[in-house]
Parts: sequence; C-alpha cells; structure tokens
Amino acid sequence: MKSLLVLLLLIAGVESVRADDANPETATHSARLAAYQSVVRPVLQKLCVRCHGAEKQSGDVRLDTLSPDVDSAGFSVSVWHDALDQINLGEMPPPNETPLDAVQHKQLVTWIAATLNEAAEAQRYADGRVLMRRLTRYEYANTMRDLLGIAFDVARELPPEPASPEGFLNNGATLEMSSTQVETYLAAARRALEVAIVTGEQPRIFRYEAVETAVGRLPRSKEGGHVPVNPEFLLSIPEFPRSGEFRMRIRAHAVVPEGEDFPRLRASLGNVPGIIHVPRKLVGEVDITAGADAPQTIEFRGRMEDFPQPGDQKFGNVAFDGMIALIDFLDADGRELRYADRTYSDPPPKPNAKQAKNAPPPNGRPAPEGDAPRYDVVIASVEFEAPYFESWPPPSHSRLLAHSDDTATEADRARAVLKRFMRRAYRRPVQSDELDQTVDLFAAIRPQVSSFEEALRETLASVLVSPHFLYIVELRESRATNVSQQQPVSDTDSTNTTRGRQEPSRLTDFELATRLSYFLWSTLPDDRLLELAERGELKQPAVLDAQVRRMLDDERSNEFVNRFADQWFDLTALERVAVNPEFYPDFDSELKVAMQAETRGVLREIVRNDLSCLELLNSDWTIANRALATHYGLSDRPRTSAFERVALRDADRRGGVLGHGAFLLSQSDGQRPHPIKRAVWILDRLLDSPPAPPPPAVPELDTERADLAKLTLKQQLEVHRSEEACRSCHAGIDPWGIPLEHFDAIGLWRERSPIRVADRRRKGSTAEVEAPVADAASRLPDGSDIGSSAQLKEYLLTNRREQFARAVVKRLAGYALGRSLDIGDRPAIEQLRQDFVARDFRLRQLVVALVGSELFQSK
Amino acid sequence: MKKSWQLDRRTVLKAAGASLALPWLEGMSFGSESAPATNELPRRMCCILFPYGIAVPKDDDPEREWGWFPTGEGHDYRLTRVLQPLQSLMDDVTIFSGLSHPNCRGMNGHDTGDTFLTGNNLEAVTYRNTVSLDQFAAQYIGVQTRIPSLTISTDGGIGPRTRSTTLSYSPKGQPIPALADPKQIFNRMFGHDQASETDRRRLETSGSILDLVLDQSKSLRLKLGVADQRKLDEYETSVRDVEQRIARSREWLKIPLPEVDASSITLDADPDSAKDYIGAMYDLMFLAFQTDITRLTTYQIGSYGPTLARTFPAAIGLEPNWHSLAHAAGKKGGAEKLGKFDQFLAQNLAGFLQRLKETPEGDQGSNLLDRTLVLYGSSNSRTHVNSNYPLLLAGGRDFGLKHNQYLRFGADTPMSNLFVTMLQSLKIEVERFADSTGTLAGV
Repeated sequence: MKSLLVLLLLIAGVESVRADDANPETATHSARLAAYQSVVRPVLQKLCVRCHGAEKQSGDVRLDTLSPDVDSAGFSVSVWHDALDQINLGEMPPPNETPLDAVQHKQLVTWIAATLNEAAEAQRYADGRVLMRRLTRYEYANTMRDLLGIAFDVARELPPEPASPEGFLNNGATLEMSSTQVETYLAAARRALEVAIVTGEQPRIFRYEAVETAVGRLPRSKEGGHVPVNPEFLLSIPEFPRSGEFRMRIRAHAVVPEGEDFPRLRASLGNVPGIIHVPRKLVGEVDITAGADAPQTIEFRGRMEDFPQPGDQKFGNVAFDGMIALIDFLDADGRELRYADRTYSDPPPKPNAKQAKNAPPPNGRPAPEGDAPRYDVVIASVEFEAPYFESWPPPSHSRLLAHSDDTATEADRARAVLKRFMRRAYRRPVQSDELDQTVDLFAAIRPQVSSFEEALRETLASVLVSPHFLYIVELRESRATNVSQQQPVSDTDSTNTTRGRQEPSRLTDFELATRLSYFLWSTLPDDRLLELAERGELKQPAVLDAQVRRMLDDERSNEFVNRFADQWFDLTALERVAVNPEFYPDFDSELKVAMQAETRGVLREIVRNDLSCLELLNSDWTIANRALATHYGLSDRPRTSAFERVALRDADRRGGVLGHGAFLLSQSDGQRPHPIKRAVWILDRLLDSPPAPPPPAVPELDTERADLAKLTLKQQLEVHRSEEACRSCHAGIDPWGIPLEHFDAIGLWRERSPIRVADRRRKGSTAEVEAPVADAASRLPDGSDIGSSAQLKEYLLTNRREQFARAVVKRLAGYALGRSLDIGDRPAIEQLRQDFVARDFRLRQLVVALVGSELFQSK
Repeated sequence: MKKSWQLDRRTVLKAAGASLALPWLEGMSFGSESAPATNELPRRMCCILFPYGIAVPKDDDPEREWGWFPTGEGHDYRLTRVLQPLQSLMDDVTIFSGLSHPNCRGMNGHDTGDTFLTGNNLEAVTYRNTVSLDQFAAQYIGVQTRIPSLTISTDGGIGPRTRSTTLSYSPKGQPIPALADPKQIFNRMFGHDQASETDRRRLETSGSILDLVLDQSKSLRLKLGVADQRKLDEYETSVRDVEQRIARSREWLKIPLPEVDASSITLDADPDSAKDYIGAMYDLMFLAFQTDITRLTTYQIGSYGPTLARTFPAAIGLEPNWHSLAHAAGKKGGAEKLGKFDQFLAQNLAGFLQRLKETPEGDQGSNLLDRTLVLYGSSNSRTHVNSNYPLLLAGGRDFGLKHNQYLRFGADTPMSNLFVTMLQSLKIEVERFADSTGTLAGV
C-alpha cells in the first residue's frame, strides 16, 4: 500500500485538478485530501459538528474525527455513505438548522461521492480481484462453434447477461451461474454434439428444384376477411426432415431502370396450416445487383427446426402439403415490388421483428407507364435441400474423430479423441489424471448406450460443462501446468492461504493465449496461438506484437470491434428505446440495426486502418448503407443495403459518434431528444467522468405545469436547474447535452424544436402548438460558450482530448481484462494513456501496447 | 398478433381440461424419500409484479375512478374502474392497501422490483438479496412436481441489480434467470418426454457427468483466490441443484408427461404485441397448474429498468412508455391514462383467475383457484414511492382464506406478514419471513 501511495502522489503532480471536474480520477488521492482540508472540513465544522462532534454525537454519528483518507483506519464507508444519503435526501442539516447553500451542497456531495468511489476501488483491490470469469453468452456461442465446427447458435437458450456498472457484459464479478444455466449448458452441449458427431448411415436427403413458381390451391378472392397471399415465387417442399440444416440456392437477376437503385430479394420458409395465412420466418434478404447477362447465385442456410412446420395431422383446406419456400421482392427503399393494390393481412416478418409495427403499410409500386422497363427481379431457379451435409460424415465429425484408429480398442480411441478435444476446450495441456478421469467416465457410460459415438458424445458433454471450459481460469500461482500434482489440502488451509489480495503474478503462456483470444476474437485460441504458448514463445514481445496484428487482421476480430463498440457506446440501448409513431410516423425500426452497424463500422474502420480515435469525435466520413444515408439525407448515398465508407460534407453535419443515429436515438426517449441522457452519455462514455447517480427521491420536473408546458425543453431545463434540489448536479450535466438540440430524437437535423402539448381533441395524443427555433447555445461548467454540435466537437477535440484518451484507455482495459478496474491499475492506465496520446490516439497501437503491458500480462 | 387459423385458445384448453381433470399427483406415489407420498390435492402459488406503481388520486379528485385502490373498506368497498374487471371474481379476491416492506422503504424508488418477494434491504455496492417467497416455498413443495418452480418475466434473464428482470431468488439470494420466450417456457415444461429411451439414458449419464465436473471444481478451488472461490461456489451449488433435479426426474420417468396442444397458445407472441404476449404468459401459467407440472410460478410483467414492457401501454392506444405514464399519473388526465392501462392489466389477470376457477379439481366440487394463491401487485404505490403497495390476493378458499373485502393497513404492518399467512396456507409451517412481525389479520 505504501508504494502505491507514492505512485499516486507522483501522478498527482502530473495532473492538475480542474475546478469543475468531479471525476475521481483527476481529483487524485492527495488532491482530494487537500480538498477535504480546504473545502469540506470547514463546511462540516461550521454546519455539522455542533451535533456530530466532540460534545454531542446525534444518532451516534461523529464527523470531526471521521477520517477523509480511505487508507486510514478511521475511515468508515458506511458513515460517509449515510452522510451522503442524508444530505441528498435533504434530511441533514435538519430543518431548524442552517441549511447548506448550493455551493456547499455540491462541494460536499461531490467530494463524498468521489471519495466513496475511491474507497470502493481500494476495497476491490484489497479483496483480491476476480480472475476467473465465466464465458459470456456470445463467447460461449463462438467457442462452441469453433470447437465443434458447427454453424448454429447453441447459446440461444441461455439467459441474457447483466451488464457491469461500467456497462460491460464480460465482467467476471457480474457474470453469474445458476442451476438453470447448468442445465442449459448440458442440453446445449448434447444438442451440439448430436449435430457434430453422427452415427449410422446418411439420412435421406430431400431435394427440390424449380424454375417456375408453384401454384397451390390458394383462394383467389377474399376469404374470411383476409386478402389471399399471392407470393411472388413459391417452391413447394412436400416432404422434409423435421430438423437439420437446410440449404436454399436461388439464381436471380435484376432489371433496374435508369436512375433506380438495386432491388432486394427476400426468402422465407414456412407452411400453410389450413386457411390462407402463411406462418413463416425470414431466411434472408439480399440485394440483387446482377444483370440478365450474369445472374447471381444466392445461398442461404438455416435449420429446419427454427421454422414453422405443419403439425402431424393435416387439417382444413391445406394449399400445400408440407412446407413452402416463399420468395418476394422489394425495391431499394424496402417497398414491395409488385401489385400496387395488394396488402398483406399480416406483413411478413422482417429480420428485426420489432419493426413490423412501425413500418409503412406494404404498398407495392405501380407498373411503369408506357414501355419503360419494369423494375423487377427475375428468378432463374430455386433449389432447396435438407438435411444438407457438406459431406458424410460431416466435416465436424471427421475432425473430432480424426486419427482414431479403428483397430484400437474403444477406450484407446476415446482417449485419443479426448486428449485433443480437451486441450482445445480447456485451452491448455491436459494433465494425465484429468484425462484418465474422463476416459473412466467414457468407460462407465459405454455399456449403457448402444454405440461408441453416443458414449463419446456424452463424455465430450462432460468437458463442455466442466468449470475448465465454462470459465476462463487463471490460477493463483503459476502452477497451471501442474493441475494434477496438487496434494489435497484441507479446506481450512485453502481458505486461510488465499484470503484477500495477493501480489499480482504473471500469466502463463496458455493463460495469455486465452486472454488474448477472448479479447480480440471472443473465442478460444486457435492452433497457432496454442502452439506458440506450448513452445513458450508467446511472451516474446516481437512474437506477441506479430500475433496481435495477425489477430486484428483476421475476420474474427470483428467480434472485438462489434462487442466493444456495443458495450462502450451502449449500442444495445437502441433496442430499448421505443420510437413513438405519433412523433415519427415514417420511422422504420430496421434503421436501428443500421445505426448500430454504422457505429460498429466506424470503429472497425479505425482499427483496420490504424486511424486515430479522434475520428470518433469528428471525421469527414462515416459508414452507411443506402437506408441510413437516406435517413440522414447525406449528399453521397450508397446504392445498396451493404455498408460502405461514405464521405461527409460539412452540410451533412455528421461525423463523429455525436452525429451517429445510434447515440442520438438511444439517448433520447423515442419522442424528444433528451439533453440529460445525452449529456450523461458524453460525460460517462467519452470523458470518463460519469455524474453521480441521482439521489433517492429526487423530485421530477412537472413538465405539464402551466408555466412549463409551453417552454422549449431547454427552457424547461433552465427552470429545473433553478430548483435548489436539482441545481447542484444538473448544472454540471445539462450544458453538455444542449449543444445537440438540433438533432431530434431519431437523430435528424432540425431547425426548430416543436413544442407538443396534450391534444384536447384526441385523448392520449399530443399536438404541436408551436415550433420555435432550436436553441443549442450552452455554457459548459468551465465557462466555455458552445453554440452548436460542431462547436462541441471542436471543443472536445481541443480542450478534452486528454480526458477522452483516458476514457478510451480505461474502456479498452476494462473490456480486455474482463473486470472492474481498481486503484492498483491506475499507474498502468496512466502510462498507457500517455503512450496513446503520444501515438496520435491510434487504437490499433493502443491494443498492441495494452497487450504488451504488465497490466494485461499479470493476474 | 393472433393467427387467423388458430382455434380459439380457450376452446382448446377446455377440451384439454376435460381430459386432464384428474390431478396428476393423484395415485402417484414414488415410495422414495425425494418426493413424499401424498394424497392431498396440490397447493399452489403464483406471484405477479407489475412495475412503476399506480395512480393514487385523492378521494375528492374527479379522477378518483381511475385510482387503483377501491373506495370504502372491509366488505363495504367499491371497486373503481381500474379493478372493475375483477368484480365478478371478488368472492375469491382480497385487496390490500398500506402494506409494504419496511426494509425497502429507504431504497431508491425503482429498486424495489428486486425485493418484492424477498423483503430484504438491498445494501448498496453488494446488492446481496435473500430468498424469495416462491423459492422459499419451493424447498417444501417444489419436490412434489416435475419442475420445482417456474420463473418468467417479459425481459428474461436476471438483469442488472436493482433493475432485475426476475422475481425469484435462490435460498442463497442469487437471482434465478427468468424465461421470457413463450416457446421456450412451453418447451421447458412439456418439451422433453423423459420417458423416451435416449432421455432415460441421459438422465443416468447426467449423474456421472455432473459428479465428474464437481470433482474437477473441488480440486480447482484449491488454486484460486477468495473472490474466485466464491465464483466457484456458485458453480458447485448450481451443479448440485441440477443433480438433485435429475434425481427427481428419474422418479418422474415412470409417469408420462401430460399431452398438451401447443397450438392452443400463441407461442409466437413477443413483447411487441402486449396483448398476445401477456395472454400467452397467463396461458402458460394456467397450463402449468392445470397439468401440475409445477405449483409455483412468478411472473414479472415488466422490470423497473429499461424493460421491453415499457411499450405495453401502446396495446390500448396509449403512448408507448409505461414509465412516463406512471410519472405523469399525478397530473391532470394522468390518472385516467395510467388507470386505463392498469385496467387492461387487471383484465388479463381476471381472465387467468376465471380460467383457474372454471377448472374443477378433485371430487369435492373444488377448482384450481380454490387451491391456488395468486398474489398480484406492484412495489410502488405512486411511482418511486416504496410504501402502500397496491396488492391483491386471490384464490385459496380451500385453505380457509376469506375474501370479497378491501383491507386497509397502516404503515406499521409489513407485507411479509402476508407472506407468512400465504406460506402457512400452503401448509408450510413457518412463523417468520424476512421482517415479518406475525401473520396478517383478516384473510
């Protein structure tokens, strides 16, 4: 602890403390102690100590002897915590005493909150870090896919993960385990192994091909009030397997009139259960860019069991026996291509099922006038095959059972398979007694089941529910390779010797390979990494650097980019915001998916091309597809639904995450922009100074009060801040969100900010009464005047880049380590931050530096 | 979205009900210590929470009709429009005001979803919880059924602390992930016919598999730090729980799963279509009780966090933001809006209760509702206020519960007293639960 303090003091010298900055990081330990003496203590002395001091200890609380130093024995988390609550609740000082004025209130609250934060970090450090962490849902899915060589989502049945306080899903302390999960892991392992390892002869394959649409006994006029479905292209699949993979291949081309963008083709699979409705699920959607001279071939795969199938018994007027593949067409804007007069009784599902409700009614486009070419998709053939196997036995089977000599005994064959499998699954060499135990399990199971393969599947399932597989295990001592040679130790010994914090030790080579691959690929290490670990070469700086670069260049690093972007920028909040159709009748929720793809895409571009992270604050390009560019009204617009880099002009007013729909929409309430949410997001995610959470029982601002209803949001916030209880915090928050007032809830630029009030004529709805000019003028807590989003970006780039750098480093480190950072990490974080700034904020360099750092390589 | 081709849900279930009229436990006797032989009819419990609280207009407020609580008191009460859908069921319903968890009154207004069934004060930083009412009961009556208890919620999983998306907590206070997808819930209850040969074998091998991994875990823990050992504890407890379940399932192998027609429920419903979704959840709980797959369910209609249920009010044409409706309930016209939505929720509850009541059980003229306790309510009165929960208890007349009344309590009566009364009705002999001070008078 001593040496740590010295370090902290050193850092304190480097960084100056800004008056407006409530952040526990910038206000360092020593600075905070100084602030206690100069600011907090005098207030306590003046207003509190008379009742909570030497003479009187009301409520058994004494504040004059309460230490402000988290490292001192006289420090008490609970007393400070109570004090904070009482002040926040307005209970202290009591009504008959001199109240805190606004400045004192803020000083006290800010100081106590920051100090408690530091205490929590110190506590986490002292308690010992959580090193072992369970695989997240997505890591588990990727790992199973790569380990078994199967291509479906085995994690679907697992419960979703809670986020850590920092917003990460992969935080070891937050990741829990329950019996439901254990059951689900076991069931998922069995299901996956049944697909990966097969028995017996190849099952019968059903194959259908058509060049013309099938015609069923579909009614032609309205029946029971429903307009008959008249799909564009149907393939009848009278016989089919109930489960297994299928493959659908479509050859098609497009006819695109001059000036039009490319149409899309949408394939779904389902059945006709009796009347006319066709319950079906989307298989896929794709742009058709090929012309008549060279049709394109589209291949979709899926699993039969995921699609609606007819029941065992036919009933009613069944138009098709069995299942049908249904293919229809959309124009570039997502409108149905044909039959202007047709409406579905039930619009077919889209990739994101949530959007169906908000989507405009599916009106087709009318036929062209004269003899202009008709905008069209022409299908040459459709082919359907199920169950689909690349080969028999499938490649997964051959790979898992490779080299198992048919002449050897079953136990020996099992041993050979298990040895290879366990090494990959546990991501380290397997000890002989571990192997023995597992082979014993095989031997115990074998007599109970009918085949070698089935016994093997059950045995492999045990590997897939083992703690060595489900958790990323980093052992306390570097005895990772000695797992089996431990002497049994009595329970009391083991708990006594391991309590509390231990000095960090170095990761083993295999632990490093694992940490690295879950960081950059969210899956298990590949053979190359394991090989380098085995040879003990991975830790050599040159080797490690080369590996990091290889991994970042690999497709699998998309997982890093996507997951990190989602968790850093809270992109999944998009799913939780409901866009109010009354405000935005034309908003298509599919745009939410596109918005997420934009932010992920920008981060990918930065990682791939070794760009500066400052591009996140402002840039002259973004990543968009046709729909998103249309939504934004960009000057340059891609022609398809694929995402590409798009140059931005000043008039586009985009560039940087603050112009991304993902941020603007997710931090709104789906109706109006929400300057407070946006501000908190900026402070937390970009500047690493999250404001303290709102105290209990904060009064809500009654926006329908007569004097408030007709004010703009900005004016309402001003009123809000004039209320005593709100000011101390919101004075530091709101000004950060105001400059974005020109972006509405769905991220579109607006010149005016309409005021809507309850509509007297239509109950439950609102009407626009006035639309004053949007007002983005704001004064930040440090006194800077900001008049627009462009100025805010400029300000961040010039005045807050160091703070932004710290945010990037801490977010990246938290994600890479899978744990909350604590007080012991601060020196390393500071070092990385300085390097990062020195290297022009290049994220790729930061990844390399982080992996090379002791922070990453120790446990 | 109800599929046009589907038969009316109720028709099918009535048909199913006829063939299932005999409770499954009758004549089932395992002769093993894991499941006590019993001839008594089942006792069940279902606990339901909706978030964000209700409108509490004063008695002279023109919008009083849209307040959740009835007017009057005791047997001399009058329902407002909100609970009107329950009018015909009031012989089976008692409404409470004034109850809450004293332990939780100081917590943040939106944190109390976590503690609705635990009555525990969630301490900041660790947020450790304690056992929930249903899981406490599961230790006694969970062993009598194929599935000890069923935990469902709109959001699924466990969610973040203080905004959890489950009502159920294990005896160690660990959140139990809720299931959210109707199809998944259905499969969990009826998906595996464990009488099939493969499954029978798998139950056998599962035991050996879990033994092995438990051994691995034990030798692993010796090489871990304290924080990691705690993580491993969770793992081991979970594995042991599954072992016990498997042991029980072996017993159940001898008994065939009830046959249930999945097409009778809108299993495709997702939270985007609130009516169908809530309907499907109630259908599934009904089915669980009807087939005696489990006797304990919890259902969190929405969490206090960024729940998918926020948009539910859109189902009746209100703005798709439950949270802001709740916050606006004190404003002019606000009580009416929230009240209308609460009425919609009450309609759904009434449908569930009605079907339980229409389903006979045993040969003494009893029905499912008479032998089921249904607790329904919120852990806020006005939103953010952690006292005076809107609560009602339905069913359980066979256990001697008295109904058709509106009981008003003072703030000194903990809600846990109601929990003790409920547990005792389930024949679980306890004197205390959480911060209880006794049983609840009057029911």
